[in-house]
Amino acid sequence: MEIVFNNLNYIENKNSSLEKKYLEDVNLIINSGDIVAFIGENLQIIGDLVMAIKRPSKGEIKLDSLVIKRTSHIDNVLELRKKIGFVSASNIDNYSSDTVKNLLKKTMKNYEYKPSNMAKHLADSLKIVGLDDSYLNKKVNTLSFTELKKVKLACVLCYNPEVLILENFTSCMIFRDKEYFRKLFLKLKNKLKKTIILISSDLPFLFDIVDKVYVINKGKLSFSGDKDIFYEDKLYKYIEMPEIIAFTKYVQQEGHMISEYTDIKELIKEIYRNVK
Amino acid sequence: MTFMSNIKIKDLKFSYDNKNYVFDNLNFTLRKDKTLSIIGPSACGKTTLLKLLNGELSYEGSIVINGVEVNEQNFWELRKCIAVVFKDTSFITDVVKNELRFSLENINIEPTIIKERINEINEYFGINKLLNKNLNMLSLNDQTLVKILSYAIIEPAYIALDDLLNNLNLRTKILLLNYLNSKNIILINVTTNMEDVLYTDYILCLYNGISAIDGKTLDVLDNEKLLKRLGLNLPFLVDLSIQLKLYGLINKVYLNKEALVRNLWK
Repeated sequence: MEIVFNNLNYIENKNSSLEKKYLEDVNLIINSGDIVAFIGENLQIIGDLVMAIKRPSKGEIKLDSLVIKRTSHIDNVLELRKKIGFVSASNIDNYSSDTVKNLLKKTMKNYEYKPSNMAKHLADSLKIVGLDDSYLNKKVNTLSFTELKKVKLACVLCYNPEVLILENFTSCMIFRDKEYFRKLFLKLKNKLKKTIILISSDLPFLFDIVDKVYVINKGKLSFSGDKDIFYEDKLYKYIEMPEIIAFTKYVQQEGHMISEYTDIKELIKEIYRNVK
Repeated sequence: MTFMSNIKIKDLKFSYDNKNYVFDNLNFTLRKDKTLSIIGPSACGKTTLLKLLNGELSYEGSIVINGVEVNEQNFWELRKCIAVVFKDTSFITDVVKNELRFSLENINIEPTIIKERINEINEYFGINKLLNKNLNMLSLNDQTLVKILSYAIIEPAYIALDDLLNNLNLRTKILLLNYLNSKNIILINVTTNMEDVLYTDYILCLYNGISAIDGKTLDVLDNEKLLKRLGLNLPFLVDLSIQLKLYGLINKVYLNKEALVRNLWK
């Protein structure tokens, strides 16, 4: 599904002391089947707007032929939401005493998804996020922070949406989990043609998987670019420079010509070749 | 009685459901005035350990902080020993100033001292512009800072943070660590960002209900294979140094890039 933002605005409490600008005059096109990243503050609003939970203050969002505007009527909101999976970082549902199984079943019911083999589909939904079926009978409020994130992703994947929107998904994850999801997202993109929108400031996670990066500053789209953006200095006005980039830049600055790598193993080989 | 600033955990057993033990005879001592990072794979009990230190859960064994046993009777006294800030701790009041004031009013501190402490924090962090702002209007960095400060302002002996330094930018992080240091508040930092372990003196790595490894930061990081088997990575410069050492290009671990580069390209 192609997603187009046309002059998109979302501003709360306009012209009051509590005015908060989330998005201001944002124009962009997210191609179908891409992995894109948004870097900035308060961007959970993108999920709410694309799901038509909240409406734009001005401008529009186009999802294929469907147009979401401030005033436009959407005939079948459910049909729209079935195509989109939004994993938000909010922790409202952390305290539910439901089991994971019920949570998955409820979600499928809400989105009218009827698998031919329910038991297998439940187990598969967990398997894809790296959890075994012993989790089915665990209560949501006994899960750890990372486990809960995985369950939330399973809850979205279980109704097979076309677009995934993930907010700060990899924050507070250890290295192994991040590696797992990096591979999973690439698989979802390449094999299942999913469009994935990552709202994230975890640059090392984004390095190898993103097709496009959008930097939003104070609601405005500051600039965008492909993977090469990670080597550009202007990005680091808005976000902390990852160690590996800082190191490479320092070495180059000292006059040693080494190539840029985002993988530490490759960097070590490069240093070895250069020093020897 | 001599004032001993330390944490002693002895034969700690804890389970949420009486079947699967999160901690099975955990023993650990944090020596006087030493800061600590707690690391480990996901769901290994990092947050649970903080809840136990905070006295939220009942357990078997013993946890003693600064000579005070963690239990219901000592709840009041514990608040001065340790403050724990969790990921899902939410704000109570509306504006930054009130949030800072609230935690002090809560433990019966006199208004003049409250004013003093807020001024002190204001000057140290240069947050004059923020003080009268609504908490919802702040950026994630500022929200996290205020959240941590609303506990640090109590000036407890220990402050434990549940993976919150992740949300701070480098400048604020360093400022906060210096502030804690100047107030003699000892940091216990649960972290998944391995770069942050370099800020603390000791590491406790949890796995399967016990300590997989603990000790001085660099000694623990030297066990590269064990940490990687647990799914953790090493801080970038430590990882790089260890690998380059294997190649025979350098002979020790460097913690700053200037020294590393100087010794590589001699």
